[in-house]
Amino acid sequence: MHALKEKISLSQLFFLIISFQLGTALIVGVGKEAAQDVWIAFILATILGVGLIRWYISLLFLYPGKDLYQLLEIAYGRKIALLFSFLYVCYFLHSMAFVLRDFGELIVVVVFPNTPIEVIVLTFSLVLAYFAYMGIEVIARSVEIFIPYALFFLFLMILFLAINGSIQPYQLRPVLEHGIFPILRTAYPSLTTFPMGETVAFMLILPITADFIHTKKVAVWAVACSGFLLAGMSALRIAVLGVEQSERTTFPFISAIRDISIANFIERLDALVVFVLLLGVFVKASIYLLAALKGLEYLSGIPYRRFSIPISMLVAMLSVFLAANYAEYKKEIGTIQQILWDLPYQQGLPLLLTIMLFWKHARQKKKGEDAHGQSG
Amino acid sequence: MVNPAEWFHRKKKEVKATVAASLAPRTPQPQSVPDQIDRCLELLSQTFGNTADLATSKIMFGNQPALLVFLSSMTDAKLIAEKIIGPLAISKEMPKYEQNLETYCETMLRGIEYKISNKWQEIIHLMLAGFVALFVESSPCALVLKIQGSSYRSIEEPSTQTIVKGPKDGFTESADVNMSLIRRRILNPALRFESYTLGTETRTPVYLAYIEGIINPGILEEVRIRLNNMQTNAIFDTGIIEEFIADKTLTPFPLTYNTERPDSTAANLITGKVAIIAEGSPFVLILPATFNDFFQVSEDYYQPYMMASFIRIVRYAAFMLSLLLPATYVSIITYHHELLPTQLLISIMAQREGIPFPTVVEALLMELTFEILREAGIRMPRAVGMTVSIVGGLVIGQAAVEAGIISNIMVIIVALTAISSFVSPVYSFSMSSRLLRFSMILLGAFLGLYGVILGLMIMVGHLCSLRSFGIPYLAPLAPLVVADQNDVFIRSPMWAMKKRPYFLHTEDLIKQPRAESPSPPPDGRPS
Repeated sequence: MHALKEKISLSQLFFLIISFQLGTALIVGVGKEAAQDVWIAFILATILGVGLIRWYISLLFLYPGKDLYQLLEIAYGRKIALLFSFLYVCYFLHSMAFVLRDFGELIVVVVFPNTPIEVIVLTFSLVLAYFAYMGIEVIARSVEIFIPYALFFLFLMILFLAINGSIQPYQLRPVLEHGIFPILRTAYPSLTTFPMGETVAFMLILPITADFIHTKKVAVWAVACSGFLLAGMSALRIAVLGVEQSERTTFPFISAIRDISIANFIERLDALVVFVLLLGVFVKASIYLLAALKGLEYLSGIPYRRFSIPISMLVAMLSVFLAANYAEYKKEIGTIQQILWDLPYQQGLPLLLTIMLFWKHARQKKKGEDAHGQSG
Repeated sequence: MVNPAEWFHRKKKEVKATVAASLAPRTPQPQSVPDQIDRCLELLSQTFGNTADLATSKIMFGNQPALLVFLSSMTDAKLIAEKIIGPLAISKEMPKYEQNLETYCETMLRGIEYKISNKWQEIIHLMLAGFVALFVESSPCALVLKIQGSSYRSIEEPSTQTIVKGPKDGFTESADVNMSLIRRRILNPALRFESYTLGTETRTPVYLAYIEGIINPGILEEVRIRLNNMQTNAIFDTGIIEEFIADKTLTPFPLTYNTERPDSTAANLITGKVAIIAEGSPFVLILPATFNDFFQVSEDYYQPYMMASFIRIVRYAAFMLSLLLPATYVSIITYHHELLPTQLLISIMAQREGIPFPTVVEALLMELTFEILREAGIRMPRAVGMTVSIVGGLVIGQAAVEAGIISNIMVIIVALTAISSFVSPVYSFSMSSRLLRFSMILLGAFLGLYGVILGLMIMVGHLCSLRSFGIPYLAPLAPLVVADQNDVFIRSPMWAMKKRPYFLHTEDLIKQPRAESPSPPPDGRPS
């Protein structure tokens, strides 16, 4: 198929998953219903997320080397698989549009108030198209280069917040103020679908990992780490801003960083942090783009690199047309995205796929045994 | 009307015909050496025309008339008289050797490299390389003797890669001298020099150096294939070879490392790389090259490792500065005032008061001026070199600020950028940051820090996609090889570097298995 098989290493996979998960979840405040207990909800969602990624990988382990689209073909046959693949391509592109929109809004709000969002989204899509054209190997290596700086910077921010005296842990109390149910409701479905369940896109990336056998362990650890990081970050956010303010601001993490003022010299770091968050956004969007492009390659038989520029440009426009303004967009992401897109594609279709695959697997095994019995 | 497709193909055919014509030798050459010396003389004048440096003289070889031919420009006349004419004068008394050239050489011309050939082409090539040819009447073979003599610059200190502590000799234009400089450092029979003749018109001798048993055979084979596939007419410097054999030329980053230093060449050969030496070039190509090679100097290994590590980190920082400083300044002043502390912002703005240009124009103007100054400084005759520094430093710098065209801080930024760009130990590498700096400034002017970050991402993506002879350019950073990190940003002590880099996949991974950290005797005194 390909002249040069692309491979990514386990450490690259680990970093990819971490930055994918932190990507937009760090920017937009998620899990607002749980108020100050959002971190508990995150821990619960992490457990569910680990379950999800284990489930996805065990599906891939049934037929090693096959990705999601090929599994669909095995389960349903070519014709129905084409339909489902097309739906998945739409899902990935739609999710990518959401990522781009989140990022565009962030840049417009924090850095360039006078620049139209189209400029931001289009330029970023061009960069994404370049990386998608270069392939997953280049993306994975670039992340390997950038991630130490990004993590170091995040750590520095936490340190600055601590030095500044902004962290007030009492704001996290009272624990379980409204009982357990708001926490459970936040953990499932909202936090499980976003960001935990989004790892479904890795069903296209995992099969090309160099040591496929060990991917389960690495992916589970990566999801767990990112989940706990997110839990910690959301607790930090509440501790700095308090529940009230954290609910009101559009980008709570950025608002928390804005609190830093050390010696009247280190100030307004929020504009810098935006560029650190850019790494996560970049990884998330490019993984979605690659997943969709692979689907298009599967559908059309044309090498996916050809699609990278037109598709990324289309998604850039889609992200602008998603909603007229940010308020409408927030409403859409809360309802339509979650119920219409995330739940069916992250859990519904994989469930169906699992049933079909196990049925096929069992039948094949039986057939194999029968054939064996006949010959013997 | 001409059919366009037909016309196109006709054009192609014409090109093919001209290519075929130019590939054929200009004058038909005979295959073998004629046995009359008069005929030889005729053929020689046909081959060489009436070139002034062709010396022919008829002498007696025993009792046979013979013809001594050489290019005076490539040989040493004194040596010819001493080593050939002298013995020949005595050989009159030895008629029994007259048919047996080989025996004659072994007894009379001892110590001279010789060759007996009957192929006309080969003799011509050897003569061009500084051999003396002796045609004997009624003998179908000619004797070619190596009496090379051409003067070269003596071994001097390298002009581009100077160091404070360490060997001071540098390569010269003679490939033989360069090879001896390397051989003198690696007294090991496994060191090999493979000979190639490249350039259809210049026929330049090119040598491929490597160490058998260390070098990765895959890399070696790839270099050989690329050298053999090279179709060029002339080679005057290894820089020309570089562009023919590099993996990709559409990149501002050099994919081969070139050095003037024999010690760094020898160290690289020991690490498991290959070197290409070309006649006439004091620069030796080292392949494969990775990004980190361009931040390492041989001196790093000759001075204490703490200092070396610190200096290395400074080099990386300087590279980033020279790439991003003007762009960052432009974008902060244009878009992100809030990032600067108020006091600093006020002082910068006070200086920019009355400057008629936007920051971008100011930055581009100054950067361009600096590039012009730099180019003039290099090309100017030495005698007027001082003028450039006076004109550049005083008139353009100071006067422009005083005239209120350029702000003071911009002069500081440009100066810092310029100095940072000189830090890279390899000249060809600093060009990449010089080129990319301008696009970064433009990105910063149009999209602020966001644009700069996007540019940086594209640059890193491009770097990640590059390969040098199959080795990823950013190795061992991406893909990450933890074991190789002891010689990237920091240099570990010599005894801690037991292995060659993993990413080169050398045949012999461990270079000093028994290296140990020095430890004093237990009682603290020498026994």
